[in-house]
Amino acid sequence: MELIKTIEQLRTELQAGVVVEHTTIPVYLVALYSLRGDANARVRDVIHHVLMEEMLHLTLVANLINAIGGKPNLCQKTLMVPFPAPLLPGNNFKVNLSAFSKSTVHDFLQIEKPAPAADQPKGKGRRTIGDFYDCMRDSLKLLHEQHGDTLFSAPSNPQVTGKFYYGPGEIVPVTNLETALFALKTIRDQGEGDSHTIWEREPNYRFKGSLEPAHYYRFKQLLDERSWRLHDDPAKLPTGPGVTVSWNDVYPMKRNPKIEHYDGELKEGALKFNKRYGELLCLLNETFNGKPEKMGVAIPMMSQLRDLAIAVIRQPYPGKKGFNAGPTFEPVDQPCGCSALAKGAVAVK
Amino acid sequence: MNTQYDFDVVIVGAGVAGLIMAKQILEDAGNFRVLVLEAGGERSKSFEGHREYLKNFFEALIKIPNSPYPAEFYAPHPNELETKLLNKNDPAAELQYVLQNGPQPFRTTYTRSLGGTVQHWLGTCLRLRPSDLKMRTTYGRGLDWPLTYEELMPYYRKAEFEIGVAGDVDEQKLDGFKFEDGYVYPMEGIPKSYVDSELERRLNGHTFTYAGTTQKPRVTASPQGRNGIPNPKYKDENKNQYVPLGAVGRGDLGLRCEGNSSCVPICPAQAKYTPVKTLNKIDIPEYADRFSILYNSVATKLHIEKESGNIESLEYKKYGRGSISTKQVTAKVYILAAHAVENAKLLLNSSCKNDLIGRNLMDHPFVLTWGLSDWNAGTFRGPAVTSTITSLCDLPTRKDLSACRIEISNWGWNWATGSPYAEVDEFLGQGLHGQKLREALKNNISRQIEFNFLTEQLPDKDNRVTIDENFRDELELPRPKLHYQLGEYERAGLIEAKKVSDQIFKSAGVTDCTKYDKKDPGYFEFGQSNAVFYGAGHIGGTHIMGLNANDSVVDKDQRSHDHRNLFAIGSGSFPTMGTSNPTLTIAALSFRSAEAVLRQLKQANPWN
Repeated sequence: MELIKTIEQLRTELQAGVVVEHTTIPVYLVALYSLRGDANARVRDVIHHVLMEEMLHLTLVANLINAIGGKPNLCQKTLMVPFPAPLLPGNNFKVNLSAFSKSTVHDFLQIEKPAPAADQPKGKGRRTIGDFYDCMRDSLKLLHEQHGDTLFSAPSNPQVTGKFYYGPGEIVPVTNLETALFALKTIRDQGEGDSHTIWEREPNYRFKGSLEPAHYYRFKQLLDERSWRLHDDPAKLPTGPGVTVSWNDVYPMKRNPKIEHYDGELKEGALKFNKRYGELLCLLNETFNGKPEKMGVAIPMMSQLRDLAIAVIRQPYPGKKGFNAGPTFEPVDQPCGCSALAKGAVAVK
Repeated sequence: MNTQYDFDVVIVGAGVAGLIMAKQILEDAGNFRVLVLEAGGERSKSFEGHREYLKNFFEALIKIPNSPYPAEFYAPHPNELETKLLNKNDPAAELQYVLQNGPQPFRTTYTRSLGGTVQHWLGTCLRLRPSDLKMRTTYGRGLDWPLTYEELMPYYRKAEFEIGVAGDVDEQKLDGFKFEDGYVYPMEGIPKSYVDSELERRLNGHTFTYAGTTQKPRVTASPQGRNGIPNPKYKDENKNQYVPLGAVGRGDLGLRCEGNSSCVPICPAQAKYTPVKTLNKIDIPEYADRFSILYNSVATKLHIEKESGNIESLEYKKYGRGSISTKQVTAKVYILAAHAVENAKLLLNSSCKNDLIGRNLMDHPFVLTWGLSDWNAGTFRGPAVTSTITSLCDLPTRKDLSACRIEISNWGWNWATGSPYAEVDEFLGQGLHGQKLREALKNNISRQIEFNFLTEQLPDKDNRVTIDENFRDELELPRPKLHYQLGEYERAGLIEAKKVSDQIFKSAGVTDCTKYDKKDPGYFEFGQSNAVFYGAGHIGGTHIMGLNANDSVVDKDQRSHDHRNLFAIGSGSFPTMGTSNPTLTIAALSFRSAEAVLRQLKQANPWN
């Protein structure tokens, strides 16, 4: 990927990062909602943890955009896209809303696929999220060489800090090159890692001993039904203790459900979910555009979404025997308080 | 290092007192070796174990404090339903692990497993008041502590860091507590619940009479041992800001209180402090060669050297599947941190001579009052209790009747009636279903107001733990037998509470629904009035601290007067109870006693 030459362009590219990070969220959420009962407690842990880290990444990217004078755009009108949805510009791979299954986990592996290690030749054509963030890092360094600290001298909005954000990993207010690189490194290491190592290279965890595999390898444990041991070879199978996966304790949700197929109470329920999800995004948009304290309102909404989603996913899919309905994550035509905010937000590619 | 002993220190009990002690000794530069013996199991050490506990709680028909935590066959603990008094005609009473000798039942329990009773604590982190420590001098009642509030202050700070307290120092100051200048709690206060704020607003300007005095209701937010927003002004000993500790085994969860309101018996998020969080700081590779913790290991007897009175070894039984083995361990210093009843049991079973062992058993006996508000109170939001009415904690009336602190429940009538399950049952019984049932529940449950009046119980030598050779547990150890009753002082306080409740309810627009059942084991009469008392789960006394062996069992360092290398720690050392929940003070005393233990370990002859 070619390095970026102007600050303006870097802001635009980072907004693409916001879109990428967000695109993974409905995908993981649906898989999580589809788990039925307690049989898949371990699976739930793995997906939930990754999901929380994706939210961290989204927050870090938004912090970075604000730090270099851009305005992150999280408005529902920008972020809610129909599924299947392309993950990255310049890559044909599309992600789906689908219930937890082996094929879904294969999709997860695609999303989180590690970049070739630095000393290996880059594959042609296939871009990974890792490549994307490597390019952001190198571009940022280059721009900093040219512009110095003025790059960070006019932040557009206050940073979201540990006061309002909590979860796995470390939230850093981005104020200079060091913290900007740290934020990018956190995203890179937690997500894809590289093909040399299973583990997040430098875990920024508060707790001793909680070295976690990078996302790709975490999901691989589910497919192999076995956990990684410290010195396992990433190219081979994990050799640690077994992981219980109950592939059948899942609501058989139809892939990429559409609200146009729903009616009656089911439609009402699904609409309620989509509406709420849209409101959540707009609330986050406010959070990242001047009102970090709004995060405190956004978090309980996330728990409410779970209840709304489960009410939908329990229902049969109209006209599709053997399949269940599910949340559709489709945009709802509703007035949105973001429009005023969004003025001056960076364009979306 | 002296290798004459198996360990430098042996600690009995992996609860808040014992684990803080272990941590302080391990972190000292002296490289001391520590063994912790835990009678129960280690389920709470893993996230899977926590899930198992949650499942137990969800499935329990009666959600009593010990409902998530099953007792071990070989290390039983009592539960809240075991209130039958010993009676020749009722063989069931003999089957309860703790024998209730009466005349009234002791309605408080404890938990024998990793994390101890603090697994189901409420999380309230009030300090004791200066006057609580000087009851004899100030009010001519009870006993004085051999420690002052000022002496405890630095240790309260350590305890507030370790537990992770969220609170508002300024509000505590208004309530009469003293703090060092500039001190703040590690985390910002947990907000008052909607019920609290509404009551505060509605009671503003009202007064009530209490034992012949006129009082204003003062609603104060409680400092709490649960995760909130870290206070940027807080600096720990290394000048760092406080970092909340997440769930055991899933550090990314539980970083903020989610307001589940089932704090007692279990915080689903693990935002509430558990001693396992302290264990995780010491169960690390750096200490692996000098720290051991053994589960399913019940301390049975201290062997005492005849001449010096020092402890020369500790006997314990390790149990497994179908096997029990008896073992001995030696150490320079022995620390009993098994909670008040089990500490007394062990001391008595070891034939320790001090007559005060087991005596002065105390609790915070409390009465409940409940009513329906004529406004929507939005009950069942927030942690179980966020505020208390503190007007009655320290009045001159303490010379006549016990002080009390009024907890405002965020969990509706849960303690009183078993809400919301009881109401579902009741309305179904009335033939309601569907929409009508939902409406009835919404209408009733969201208006449920409940007050818990926790009163101070005075030390009374006749309230005591003994052991009975005729009743033995599965390890053949004599079981504890409790002799317990409320005195006039406590009864008067509890009865006065109901009168206060009636007035506050009236001022706040709440219709009283309180009913005391004559058949309830806690039913009592006093003068023309009656009430039902409960146990708060705050066991105190049994090895109280004081100046010498004639007035107490341990000294201000919690060291035995008679056995100089023996410490008995925890709320068993409290000479009086005040009206504050005891955990914070237990933790502070552990920090303080750890310094005494370290001094002793560093002496040429630690037995002096």
